Amino acid sequence: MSVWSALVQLHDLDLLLEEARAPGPRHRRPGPGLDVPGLAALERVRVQLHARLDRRWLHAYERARQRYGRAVVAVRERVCQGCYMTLPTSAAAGADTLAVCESCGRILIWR
Amino acid sequence: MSISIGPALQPAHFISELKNRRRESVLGELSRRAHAVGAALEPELLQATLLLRERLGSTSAGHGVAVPNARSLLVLEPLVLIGRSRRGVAWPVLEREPVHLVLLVLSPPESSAAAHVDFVAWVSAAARPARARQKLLESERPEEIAAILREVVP
Repeated sequence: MSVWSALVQLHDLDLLLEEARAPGPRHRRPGPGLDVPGLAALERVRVQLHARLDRRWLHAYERARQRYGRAVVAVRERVCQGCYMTLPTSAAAGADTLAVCESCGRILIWR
Repeated sequence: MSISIGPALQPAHFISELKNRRRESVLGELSRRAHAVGAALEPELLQATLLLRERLGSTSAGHGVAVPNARSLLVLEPLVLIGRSRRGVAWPVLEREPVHLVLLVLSPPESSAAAHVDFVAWVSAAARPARARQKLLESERPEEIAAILREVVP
């Protein structure tokens, strides 16, 4: 699994955990795929995904997640969709490319 | 992010007979279709994300209906894909009832958790009344299916 794939899956897993942990009416009537007992299994998957990432990307991911909630955002027309700053022309671009936004520190993907 | 699925349901969003009969394979088939209609990237990775959701809890909604769903970086726009299986899909749940109607619900990551949960709830609600479920299982025309969804999805 590439770093790009591991980061995307870690991001999606954190969105899923956010939905499952959020307090609210749905815990009284869980919707399909939102049963709380499965949380422990997903926590173990999260640990496995962490182990696939090198220290640089893991640090960038966790720092941005703690600060903003979502650590990975898309780039559209050279604009970071997290802070809406235009990226410098020197910024790497293309599918499977990863970069860190110089303005906000979120991890950027082109999609 | 507002979500309106009924009017946007295209023939390509409807698989009248799923090729596969196992949950994992069906999620792969639907992920590839989502990619083909331009609503998602990397179908294999999307399939893995959908399987993570299944690990949290089966997305079977009972009565032969499943609502697999994901909010993912791989999703470009909100989407509902409908897959049917007359033979039935093995969908691990306590009651071991085969699934005949699979409603895949995808949201982009910009959707809030609450919006995605509501989206899933709306789509699940569409298949809850026995009469609507029967229509969803029998109709051959995507516009009829869209009309059924519009009854519950604003």
